Amino acid sequence: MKETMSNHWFLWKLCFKATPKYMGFVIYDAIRYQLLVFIEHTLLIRYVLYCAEYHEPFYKAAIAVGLVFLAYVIAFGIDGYFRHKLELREKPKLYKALKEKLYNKAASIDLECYDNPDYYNDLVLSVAESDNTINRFLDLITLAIKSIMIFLTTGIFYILVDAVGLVFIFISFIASIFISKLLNKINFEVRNAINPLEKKKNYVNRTFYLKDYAKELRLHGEVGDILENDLYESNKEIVEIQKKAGGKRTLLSFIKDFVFSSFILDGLYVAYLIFKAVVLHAIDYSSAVVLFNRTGEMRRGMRDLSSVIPKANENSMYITKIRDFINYEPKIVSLSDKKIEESIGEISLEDVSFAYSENVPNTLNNITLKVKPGEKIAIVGYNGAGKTTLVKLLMRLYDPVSGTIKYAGQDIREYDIDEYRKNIGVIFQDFQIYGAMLSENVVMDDIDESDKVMREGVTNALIHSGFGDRLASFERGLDTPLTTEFDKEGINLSGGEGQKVAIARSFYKNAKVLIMDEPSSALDPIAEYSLNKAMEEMSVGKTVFYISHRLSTTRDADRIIMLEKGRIIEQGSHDELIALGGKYNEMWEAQAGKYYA
Amino acid sequence: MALMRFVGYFEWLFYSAFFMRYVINAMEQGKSFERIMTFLVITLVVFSLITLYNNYIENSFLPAQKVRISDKLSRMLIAKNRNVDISCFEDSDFYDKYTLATENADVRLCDTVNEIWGIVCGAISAVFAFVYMFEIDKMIGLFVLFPIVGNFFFGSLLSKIEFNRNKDMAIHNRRILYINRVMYMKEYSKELRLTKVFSMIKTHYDEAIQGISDVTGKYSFKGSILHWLKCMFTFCIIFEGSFLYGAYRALVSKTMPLSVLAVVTSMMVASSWILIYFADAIANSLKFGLFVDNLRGFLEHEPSIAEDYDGIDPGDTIEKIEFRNVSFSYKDKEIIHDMSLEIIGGKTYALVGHNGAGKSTIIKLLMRFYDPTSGAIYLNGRDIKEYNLQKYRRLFATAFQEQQIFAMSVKDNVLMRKTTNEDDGVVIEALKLAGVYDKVQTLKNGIDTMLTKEFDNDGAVLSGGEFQKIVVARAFVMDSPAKIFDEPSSALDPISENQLFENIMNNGKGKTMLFISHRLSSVQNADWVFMLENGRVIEEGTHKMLLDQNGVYADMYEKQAVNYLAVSENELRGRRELV
Repeated sequence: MKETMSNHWFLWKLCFKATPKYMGFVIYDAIRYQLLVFIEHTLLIRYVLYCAEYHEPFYKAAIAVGLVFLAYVIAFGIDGYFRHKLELREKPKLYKALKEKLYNKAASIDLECYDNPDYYNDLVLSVAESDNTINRFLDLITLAIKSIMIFLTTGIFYILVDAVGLVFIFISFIASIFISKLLNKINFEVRNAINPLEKKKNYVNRTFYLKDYAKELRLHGEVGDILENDLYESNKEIVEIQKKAGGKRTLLSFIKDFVFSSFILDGLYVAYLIFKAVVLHAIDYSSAVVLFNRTGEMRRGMRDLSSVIPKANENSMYITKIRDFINYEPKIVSLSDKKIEESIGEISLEDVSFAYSENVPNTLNNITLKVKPGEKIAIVGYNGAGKTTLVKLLMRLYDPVSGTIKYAGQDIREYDIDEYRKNIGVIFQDFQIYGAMLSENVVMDDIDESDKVMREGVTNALIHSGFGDRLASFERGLDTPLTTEFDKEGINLSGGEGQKVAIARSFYKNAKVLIMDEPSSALDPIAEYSLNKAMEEMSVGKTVFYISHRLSTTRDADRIIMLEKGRIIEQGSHDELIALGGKYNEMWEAQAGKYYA
Repeated sequence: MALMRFVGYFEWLFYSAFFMRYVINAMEQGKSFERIMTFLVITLVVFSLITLYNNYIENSFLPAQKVRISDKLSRMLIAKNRNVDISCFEDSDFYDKYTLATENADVRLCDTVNEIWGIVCGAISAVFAFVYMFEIDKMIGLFVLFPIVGNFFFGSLLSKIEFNRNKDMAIHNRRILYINRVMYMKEYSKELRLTKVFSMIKTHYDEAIQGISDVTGKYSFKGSILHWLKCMFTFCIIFEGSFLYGAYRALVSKTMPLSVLAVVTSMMVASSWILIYFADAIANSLKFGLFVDNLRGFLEHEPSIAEDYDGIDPGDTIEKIEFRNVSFSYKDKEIIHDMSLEIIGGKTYALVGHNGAGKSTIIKLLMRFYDPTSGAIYLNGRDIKEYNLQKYRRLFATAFQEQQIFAMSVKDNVLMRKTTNEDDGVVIEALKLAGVYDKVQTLKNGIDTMLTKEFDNDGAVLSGGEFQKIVVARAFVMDSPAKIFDEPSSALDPISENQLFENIMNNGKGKTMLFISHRLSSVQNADWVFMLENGRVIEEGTHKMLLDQNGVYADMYEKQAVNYLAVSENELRGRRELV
């Protein structure tokens, strides 16, 4: 309860700060709606009927009707402004207030959070539910205010005119709630039984409609039969489950909808009203009509008010998740804000070990390595030897479990993390191209399109990375939108072209340390060849780490590091390692041997 | 279901019109309390039966019936889906329509039926309400026209504005969704940390919000006015107008009894809501109409390559496969030009060339995922279109690059059919050849381990390279006369790659083999090499013939080999001449 309150208070503060005007309007709107409904449907009708019953002069009724009409003329005018301007304009800001917090966090949490499925699910859920949480919160405000307003208006009306009516309504309401609970229990059980079957159905449907599976399903027809059969079996089971629950549900619903609703309100209460009016003459007809007409409204007020708390609790669960996420403290932070020096520094790893989580074996074991400024290091080894992990540690995407990594004699954790990363250019195989302009895709930062220095720098970077010819073919040059995400005229680059843009990023950044992780494995031989040329050019005067399966591309490195099971097992120049006749030699023979033919 | 809707409207109208009128009339005429009570009890009994019926339909009949409808629909959709040709999945227009049609098709079909009944019942109730009011008083009846104007005239103007506004906003909303995706998807996580791309994204977010605000401004004046008019017509004029008119009739001209005035007030509320629901139902039905259109379009689509095509049995030997002047256009762009080539049964062929040269397309044509735009492919002298498609495809065991793993056991994923324990031997053999058996052995249940965490939290998630090897095992396990491998080794390290190619060659002895690879070293063992460029075979021959030819293939080979050989390109040539 306390948590629910504090969670919604947190959301209220956030929303109110983002757009006080809109939040004020939401409250006004709920009060206005219920108040006018009460005035129109209870007071006005009663007054007009009262006038008719007791033959009051016409002008009295006319004035009352006129006043209500006028109130609506104004209210609907404001309503139009609210729905067609304020709401559309302010709601995105509301969403953004929360999203921005989430995004800031998502961009700064440790990368290891993405490897942890629990944590990653929290991230996905938080982001996916962020807008809904706000919508639910707004609905909750409206619901709470409206139902309280019903009590303050219609409720008081009943107390003043005929309090006994409230007893009928209350009994009907309580009894219905009780039955609803039983019904919910049955429905909950049914849902639990159906859920795994629905999951199966969804999976089968997905395999049939996603294009990814279309080829397999055509080549291996029998798999389709198995999947289809699963689907139909699931359907049969669901029908059985629904049938079994049907009788009980029908009975309970009948008790709820008729015995505790129609029977009490349209039967007993009406009988009571008629008795009071006809036999006792204790109530006038006009009041009786209005009282009867408003039982539904009163009951709705009770139902809504009683649903506020469970709904708030449900929403609170989401808010808790979101807040937990926002409050997560990343482990990889700058211990102090040391700046990086202008000249290239030596990189040294001292007894570095690393594991992705506590209960899995180490990915890296006691790595000790010194890399002189400007040295070209190639890292080779089998799949899973720890090559990529090693460079991820260098980029400080993870911190070692033990041992230290130093840059220019200083523990890299001491540097300002953004400064430190700015110093490193990275080329991956799985680079991303963004739905933005070509220049933005190279600079990878907020840009001022008219900045001449930037434009020149980007153009040069693209020419160096071998993208020059393609650039020249673009009508809009650097302003060409990439991907067809937003612009039908956008350009979709091929894998090799995209890779060149990714390389241009490192050229533009002019980082002193370059890390290349299998940048060419998806390319055909010619594209790979020209890529290697571009990278060679970029490497001049820089410290380079190069990971590759293609030993042909690593043989010119100053030093080759051969990793196996997270350890350095051999290192030296190509010729030294060949002379050594160890694992590297074996790998080399496997690959190069055939070319000797 | 229809009856339920109808009863709902009936109950509403009954209580707000007939019931109240009778009771107040009776009271005014001083009828005895007992008589009124008898009427009340009869009413209650009738409604108890109606409610019981409704509850039965809603709680017993419909939940099961909906599943049955969904089942029928799935059967139709899946049967169609399995029969359409693969190009349908790649035609984005068709595919969009198809997903629109099939997404939650069962739920939406029920909704559509429901909505149609909503229109029918709404129309009947509206007419009934109108006639009833008209009968009470001709003028009052006319008041019902106001919500009609409000809902249908102003309502449609308003939805036009909303439609245009949404259209203008779509681009901005799409950008916001895109940003959302970038912010949580793993693929982007590294770059978000290593670069400043996050500040670019934030700027784009602000621009999108500004864009939404601008669009809002464009329509807000017109929208507000129309909203006001719609509300005034739908609610105020009919409510307040009828009150005023009723009060006038009751008080000034004294021609309306109290009972009728009471009925008029509650009828007005009921009939304007009926009209609002009616208008909504019509608006929704337009949306559902589009859905039904898409659904029909999909179900009536005639595939050009019917998966269930029954033709001649191709037998189980491959003597010769021929491409005769085959051209193929994809999305109006010709990607294979007038290609002729010959594949002799029992030999090994390699397809090489740049990305996009048409290598994979040739295999897709051979597998009849597509048919050539002109020219034809012949197997043993007969156009492949004449064969029974299923049987024809079974001649080939294939391992494609981007193949999928299903949420089934390792064994099922390799065999891709119903399996028994007797299959274990061949599966293990195939996994060994693919070089992934060691890994599979470490899994909890060996080859019976479920793959993916789709249904089983203990399901195994393998690395990309390992999944690729399982896909390759599919080709090993099939005992078919031809085997096709499309880049089977792109994610593998050199030793595994080497081993895999050796296994492919050994396993393929005596079979027709066709493989695509970027590693030209593995191509040397092929009996014949086709070098492709821009959808044409530009060179063909044995590895040695092509090197001697000194053309594009030789150049490509040298670029790859030069570093391995640690000799200059000239030396390389000299050396080759010696060999």
